[in-house]
Amino acid sequence: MSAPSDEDLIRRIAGGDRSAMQGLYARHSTAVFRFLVRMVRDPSRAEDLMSDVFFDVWQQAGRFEGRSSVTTWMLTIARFKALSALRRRPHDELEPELAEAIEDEADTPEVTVQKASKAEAMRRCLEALSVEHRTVIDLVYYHELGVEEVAQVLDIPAGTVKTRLFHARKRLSDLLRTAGIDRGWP
Amino acid sequence: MTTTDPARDEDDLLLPWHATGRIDPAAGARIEAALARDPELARRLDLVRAERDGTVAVNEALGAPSPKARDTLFARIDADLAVRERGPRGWIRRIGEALASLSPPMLAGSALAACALLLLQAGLLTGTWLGGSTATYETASLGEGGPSAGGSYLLVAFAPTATAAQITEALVETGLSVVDGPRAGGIYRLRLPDGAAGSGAGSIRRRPLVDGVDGRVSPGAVLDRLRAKPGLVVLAVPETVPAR
Repeated sequence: MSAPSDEDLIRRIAGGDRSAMQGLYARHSTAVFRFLVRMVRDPSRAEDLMSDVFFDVWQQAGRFEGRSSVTTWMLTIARFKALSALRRRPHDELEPELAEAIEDEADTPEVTVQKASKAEAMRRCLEALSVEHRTVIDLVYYHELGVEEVAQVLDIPAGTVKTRLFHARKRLSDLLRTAGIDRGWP
Repeated sequence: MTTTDPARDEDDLLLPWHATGRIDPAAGARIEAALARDPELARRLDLVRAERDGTVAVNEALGAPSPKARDTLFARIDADLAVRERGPRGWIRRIGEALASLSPPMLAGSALAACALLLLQAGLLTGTWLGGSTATYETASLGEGGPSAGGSYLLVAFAPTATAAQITEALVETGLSVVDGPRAGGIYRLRLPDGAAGSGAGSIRRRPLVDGVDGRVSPGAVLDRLRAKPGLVVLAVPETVPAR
């Protein structure tokens, strides 16, 4: 017997089926959690927000109209909750673009990244992007959403999704260049 | 991205979705064709793949939510379920579950029994409706008190000073009932039923309103009783010709 689709699970959850909720949680909790950690940079807070996201899904499953995928729907809720949490943060936690991810204990960012491998440099630079840039990069590369799906999650036009991702990638190249890795693009 | 070829710029923008396979077939085919003839585009696709691999690695390094987070969530869900169970929708759901738990023969039997009950109720209601009066209302003069009913009739005009309580008491005492009026001059048509002495109020039996040996109430005696009450009537006469 094939596994129930996300839409089937949502229909059952709308009827108060706890086991369907367990199935949906098992399927999506890690992705939602990681999306939230990447946004708020705090695993503990991300867990709380993830719990809120799934509780919203439990309570609002009956309103799910299927106009987007379940993944898109949940990530939209997650992004909204993360942004609300970020707005409640003290101003010193609000990030411009965090160079702290590149910075290490002693060295300057450039030196630290030069010491690392190319993959490590990529990781550090991806973490150093602004929340806006790393969110669009995560949605495309890790969550593998299409242009329209990203547009729904971010609530922006599809054309803006493409240009935002372009600028995020361009910023990533700048950070890598700063770290001594010139990709020759753009 | 800034070339003079808009299609190439669009391909550049779409390379990340080409790398993840989340691109529509037409655009995918166009990019495949462009990659085959443009080594620089192919090189940029490699950059995109490196970004994708790095992003996946960063995300996978974040681990998974703790079991505690799961327990907390489902504790909230259980509490919510308990609240729902206590609500009206919980009762409906339980009835539904009870019906769903019945075997098909039991369900069919229950449905038949319910149908039989409905038919029985429909029959009883129809019988009651057809067996009773076809009118949806009754006038005060219908039946015994109607114009065609037996008995004697009196025409009475009550004094303007007579109170409703005095009039009611007199009617009860004499066994009279109003069947018409007030007509011109404030005259009411009252009926004195046959055999009122046997079925009327106890006050009539206690008083000498009966005539002769047949034990029937005399209209004349009733008229005298009405006239004898001070301030009750200004006119009290027997009706000699039926009004209708």
